[in-house]
Amino acid sequence: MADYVLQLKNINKYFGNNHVIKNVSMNFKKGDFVTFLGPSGCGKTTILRMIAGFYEPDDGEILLNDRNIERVPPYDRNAAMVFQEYALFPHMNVYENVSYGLQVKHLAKAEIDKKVKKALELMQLQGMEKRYPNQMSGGQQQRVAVARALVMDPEILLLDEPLSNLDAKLRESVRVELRDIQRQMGLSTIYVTHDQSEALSMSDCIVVLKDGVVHQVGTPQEIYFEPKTAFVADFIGTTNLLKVNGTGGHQVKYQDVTIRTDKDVRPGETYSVSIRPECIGLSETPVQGKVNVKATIFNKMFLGEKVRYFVHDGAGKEWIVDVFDPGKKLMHGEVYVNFPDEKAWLIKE
Amino acid sequence: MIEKDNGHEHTGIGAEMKVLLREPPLLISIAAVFLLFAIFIIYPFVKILLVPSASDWVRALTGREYLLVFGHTLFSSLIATTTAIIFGFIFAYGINYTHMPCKRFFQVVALLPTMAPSVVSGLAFIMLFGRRGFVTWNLMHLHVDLYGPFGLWAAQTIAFFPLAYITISGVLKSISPNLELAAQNLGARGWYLFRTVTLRLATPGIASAFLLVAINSLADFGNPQLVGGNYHVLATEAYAQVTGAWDMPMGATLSVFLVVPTLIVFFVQRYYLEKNSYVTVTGKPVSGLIRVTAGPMATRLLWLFCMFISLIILMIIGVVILFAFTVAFGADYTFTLQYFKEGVIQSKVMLHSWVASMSTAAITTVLGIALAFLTIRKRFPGRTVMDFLAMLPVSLPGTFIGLALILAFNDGPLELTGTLGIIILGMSLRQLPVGYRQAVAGLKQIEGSLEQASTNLGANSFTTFRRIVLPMLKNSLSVSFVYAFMRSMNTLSTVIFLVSPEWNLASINIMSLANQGFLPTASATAVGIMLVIYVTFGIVKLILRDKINIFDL
Repeated sequence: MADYVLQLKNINKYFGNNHVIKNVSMNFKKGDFVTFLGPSGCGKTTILRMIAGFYEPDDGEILLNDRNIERVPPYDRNAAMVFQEYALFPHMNVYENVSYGLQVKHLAKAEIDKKVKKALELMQLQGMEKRYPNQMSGGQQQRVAVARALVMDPEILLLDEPLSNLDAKLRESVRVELRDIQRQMGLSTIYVTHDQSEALSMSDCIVVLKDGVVHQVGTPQEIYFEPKTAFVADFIGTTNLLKVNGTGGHQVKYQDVTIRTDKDVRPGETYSVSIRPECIGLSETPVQGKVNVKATIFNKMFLGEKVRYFVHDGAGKEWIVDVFDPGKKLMHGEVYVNFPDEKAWLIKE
Repeated sequence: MIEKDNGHEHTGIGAEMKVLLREPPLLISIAAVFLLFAIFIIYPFVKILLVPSASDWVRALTGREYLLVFGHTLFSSLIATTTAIIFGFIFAYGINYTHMPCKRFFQVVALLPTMAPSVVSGLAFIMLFGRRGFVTWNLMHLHVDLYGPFGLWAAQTIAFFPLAYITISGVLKSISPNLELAAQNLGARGWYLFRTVTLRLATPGIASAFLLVAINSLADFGNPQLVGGNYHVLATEAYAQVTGAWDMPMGATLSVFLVVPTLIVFFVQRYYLEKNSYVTVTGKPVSGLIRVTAGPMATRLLWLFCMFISLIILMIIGVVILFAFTVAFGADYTFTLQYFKEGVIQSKVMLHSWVASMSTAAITTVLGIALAFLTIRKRFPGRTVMDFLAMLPVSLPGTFIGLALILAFNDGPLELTGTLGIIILGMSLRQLPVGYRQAVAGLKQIEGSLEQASTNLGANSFTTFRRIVLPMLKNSLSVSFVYAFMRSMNTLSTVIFLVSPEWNLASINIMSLANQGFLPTASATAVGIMLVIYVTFGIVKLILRDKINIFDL
């Protein structure tokens, strides 16, 4: 039981007539870095704000370290949050911002000093104590916002798209740094983002949401290679989704091509199959032991480490195929798209 | 008002001049604006400074009675401003930070006084608490005399409460709810959160509102005239010097005195507070977030307070309506339309007020957008001067503007004294900053790239302005039109020196009728002004078919 820092039980939330969170239940392990991933409007920020106490669920329970926090007001939940726009107090300098929460608790001056100093060191903000937010860059402001949350020693750290206001290069380095600090401190963290590469690179566990419904919970590898729904397959990375018919006995048919799967399929039923572009090869003749589909190349993009081909098969379906280490010579015209059976991931919906 | 030069390719006066010479229409319009400003702003204000002789200055600076008047002015406006700001803040906090019942009602009632001349609160004060006041005489049988500083304080507090409330409400709205949520997230709540975050963030805005209200109460003419009794302030004293003692130079001197504190206030606001505002620091506004609301106990107290203020305002409006439509309120309660006929229907002054105010609204709206277009979108030498002159009248007391205009246009080629023209001129000067500021705010919201896109697609400057800029500014323009109209209908101090027997105005009539004891007719006139303003709003709304709502503040 005590392994879970946070448990959501059948959470529902309505905004007026809008059912924005639909029966969400999940458990968060201590020390995990969990990411809520989904397109805008999927409800990920709403759940985060319910954990922080800014919204109340209309239905369901939230347990923080086994304690039901329904009646705990936001100022008594130890769930420090980093806001998307940082929400630094513009009338306070860095020191005052970071120490604000400690001063609310009436800690001794010496203790506050010590904790703030440590947090500022951790975020490499030494010497900036007297600066005001409007005298700092976006990246520095973001560090202050994180320091302000860390200094509270929260039971759970909530991050609401904290990197979305940074430029691409900075984003990547802060990603690594944030994850390092989180690991060092063993801090249970919930991270909200719509950026799949952030989610894949940082998380222990990803929760994919759409329209208030949890589509899948899993490790980044599970989410990427074993999507449970067509939405997940399509939203994470790039994929080729094929509509196939079950023929029974672990086999499905795409047009007249048979694909073997290790899952049970019912004859006559329609399924989706997801095949990642990097799992597919192109050849001039069919390849033995693989699934082969005849197709025509109609466009290609040279991207350095790979060439991305766009091909049509006989049914008019468009495929994306990535060929790595391509060399100088590019393919064109009629080809065979080929992939091993085990790379075709069957989705039952 | 002016943005920093955002990477414009040409810099320096020489380069700016070159651009101007390439565009003759622009050069001509800039020259025309400066000519207008020179004649109608700079000339009168220089003239009024030159009228008093050295001995007048000495007399005013050494005479005990004048120093006393100066002290009165500062003291009375300081206390009235303080209470108006406190009331306005509490009211605005209640509206913006609670989910209390009757909120809509409070919002509407709080703005009712802005539709009537500010002197109406003085008028109502007389009718309720004066020597024969309904409360003091009829109900309590008291022989009291509340004329003087106390009456003035009460009347001005109520008169300027709406302005304080509107301004502070805007300040509170602009505080990002995220900051308060963040404070809550860090453990702060209730009074502590209010004190360390909300109040601190609002302070520059409140200071700014304080100065705005201070300028208005320093320059107030109607209330001191009606309920000040022997407690003279600079505006009434200057009027008495000019119309009573025929001492024009002393009137001018005292008017200039009044300008000193208002100008100080203006400069503090413009060059200090605007730069120290936190409001824009946090970037993009966050929508769909609920604010941290006050606790249940605080909400109850705030509700009581808002109800109290609302009832006072309703009492004021109510007593004015009752006086207007009964034979002799307090003695004979028979319904009558006689006063309304006298004061509104058969009265030429109402029509004069309407014509002058409509013209003013049209002039200031058009001029405001033209000026804003020049100062925001164009680069030319003297841009900051133009911006400064367009904003300057906001800080000048109405009596000063009025006196300056009659001194300047009493004779010579531009003799305007005694005409409708000088009334419209005075009102327009007074309202220009409002129209200008609205247009500047509107233009700043439209990205320059939209206009560039239009130009890129082949439209010239004029077409771009008509097809792109104007439609996008429609809302802020109708707001400034309606606002200028309303303020002009209600202004008293600006036009007190400008009216003549031939061209008199409704707002002036309220005061002179009240001074002569014709309270019912004065009340009927006030009701008439409110009706005219309301009906005009309705018409403007129908014509423009937009969603402006004066109560949505």
